[in-house]
Amino acid sequence: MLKNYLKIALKVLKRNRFYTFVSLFGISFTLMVLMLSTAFIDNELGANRPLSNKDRILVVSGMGMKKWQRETNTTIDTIYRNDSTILDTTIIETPIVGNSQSSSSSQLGYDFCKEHILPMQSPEMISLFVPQRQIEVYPNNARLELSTCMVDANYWKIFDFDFVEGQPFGESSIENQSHHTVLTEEAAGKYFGAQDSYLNRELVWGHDVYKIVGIIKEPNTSSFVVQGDAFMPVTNLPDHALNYGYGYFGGCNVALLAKDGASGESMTAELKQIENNTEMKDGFDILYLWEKDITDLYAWPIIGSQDTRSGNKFLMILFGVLILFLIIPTFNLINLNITRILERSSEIGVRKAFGARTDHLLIQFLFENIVLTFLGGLLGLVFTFFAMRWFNKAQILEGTHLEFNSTVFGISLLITLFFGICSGLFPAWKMAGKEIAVAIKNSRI
Amino acid sequence: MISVNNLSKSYFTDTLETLALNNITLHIEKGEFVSIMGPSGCGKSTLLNMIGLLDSPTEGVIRIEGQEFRHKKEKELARYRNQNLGFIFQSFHLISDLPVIDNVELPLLYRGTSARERRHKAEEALAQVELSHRIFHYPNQLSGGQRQRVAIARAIVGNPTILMADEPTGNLDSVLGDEVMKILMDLNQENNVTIVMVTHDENMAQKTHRIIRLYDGNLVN
Repeated sequence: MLKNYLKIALKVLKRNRFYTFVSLFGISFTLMVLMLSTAFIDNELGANRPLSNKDRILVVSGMGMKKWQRETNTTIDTIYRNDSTILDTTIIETPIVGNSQSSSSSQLGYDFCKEHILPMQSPEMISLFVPQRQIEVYPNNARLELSTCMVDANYWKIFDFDFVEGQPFGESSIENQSHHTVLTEEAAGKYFGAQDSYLNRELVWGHDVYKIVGIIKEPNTSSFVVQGDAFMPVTNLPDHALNYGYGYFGGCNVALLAKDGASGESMTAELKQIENNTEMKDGFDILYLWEKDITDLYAWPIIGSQDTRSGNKFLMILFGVLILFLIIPTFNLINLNITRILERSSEIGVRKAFGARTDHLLIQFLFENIVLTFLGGLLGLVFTFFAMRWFNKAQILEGTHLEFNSTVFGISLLITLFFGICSGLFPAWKMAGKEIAVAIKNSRI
Repeated sequence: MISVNNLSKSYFTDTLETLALNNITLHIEKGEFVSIMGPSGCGKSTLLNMIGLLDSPTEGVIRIEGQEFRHKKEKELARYRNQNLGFIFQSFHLISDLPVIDNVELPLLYRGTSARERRHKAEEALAQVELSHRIFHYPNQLSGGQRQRVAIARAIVGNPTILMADEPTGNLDSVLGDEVMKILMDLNQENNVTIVMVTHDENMAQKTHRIIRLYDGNLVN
């Protein structure tokens, strides 16, 4: 029977070429976009190097302080003494919690981190780093702009970069303010030109000379915590770049690595304690830390404000958009399928007259849809392959490298198949349940 | 063989009831070749559809070989049609995407017959209507007469005891019509198949054992 169904399915596809084209294009294009989207999400938010530990990482990317508005109550007491009136005035200021009068925010100061964050007990490891400082260097008298990330020794343990050669600088480099640097392959190529090895070569920044101790692959993700062309010991930064404003603010971020996946909450709780226990300065009433996971950080510039954790919301919106993207072509497919099946009213009537049950017809039409979806899936695979190649080559989003993921393809194909079946089920069920006499009478043959 | 008692069929819209068949009672013997005649819209095809279990009556009872079908499930009706009834339609209703042989195999497909046996029986049925040389042709490669012969082969491939023919010669010229009629008469005489045929053609009807006449949904004596 399946052979008969397959024969019919292929014949129907060949007969209605326009319908087949529209359906196949819809399915393959949907699949391609799904594949590209999921590859992009995996590229950006997946647990890939150097963010293999992403589920255990919290980043404190900044802090803020707020001063509440004050309600002023003035009490005047009048006293008569020796035939004269004496006024006794009492003024009481009460803060109105929640009504901000002024606020100030920044990244964290190096000294604040050393005093308040580094002593934390709940994380397994803490790294202090200053991300995304632009510098200018002049290889062969040509200007080259590099993005630096000034890091400590733990940074390399929390973020597992892929070293092409050499190794990260360690604790002694931090303590000794050594002029060591780790460059990305691309930055090294730009600075030195293509070389077999860049180790022990020297990069000149201003009056300082930095020795190349390691070369890393560019991370795929655009997350700013791991972005940079050159990574240098954080202790090489002058104090004014590390500490400014109120004694708490500065240029630092902190990455906290949880002991395991479940201990993120204890880190959050300990950060809350820091917020509550830190002495307020300059009349501010509260201090708060922007503590985010890797997804929050990604979502932050897209949908969130700085003081909200918006990663889950972001993922839900993303998921919703993907579902919407699947539902629209599904409705189109349902529409097309209804038209297509209506054209086959005679066939349905005849099959039923000769003994086909409703379930026979349902299976037949679903089988046809599965064949169509399968063909669309194959086409989608080809489209995805070429689209990814083009996307990676064109570098539309700098640093993004999409990789084909067979699991993602399998899941995408299953999702498409599911929607393919859904799009066929409704019209098939509707037509299969039609009275035979009506189906034959309404046929166009 | 077939007994129809007080059969009525009405079609309903929101405001209107149309009576297609009114209180029909008739009996058809085993091996009988009966034609149903009447003007357009008198309910001939509706009656044939009822007898062929393709449609359900509003009132009344149909018994075939003593079996009543009023409360049968769709599954049971499908099985009965598949094993006992054959259908021939005016417009042939062949599946244009399938070659002749697959069209003829269709009833056996729903019987769970093996592919080899299906093929064998379909070839036999096609030989009976003298179309053995056309088995891999598609319906659109055949003439009207050949298409109707394929439809007859499809109707008889499962050895039904009753054939329902809805104007089988209606789309054919007189020569081809005679050819088809001859095949039906042979089937009736040689295989003792009971045939109920709707026709407009008085000459064709005269060749059958009995004519049932309908007018405005009523049986005319």
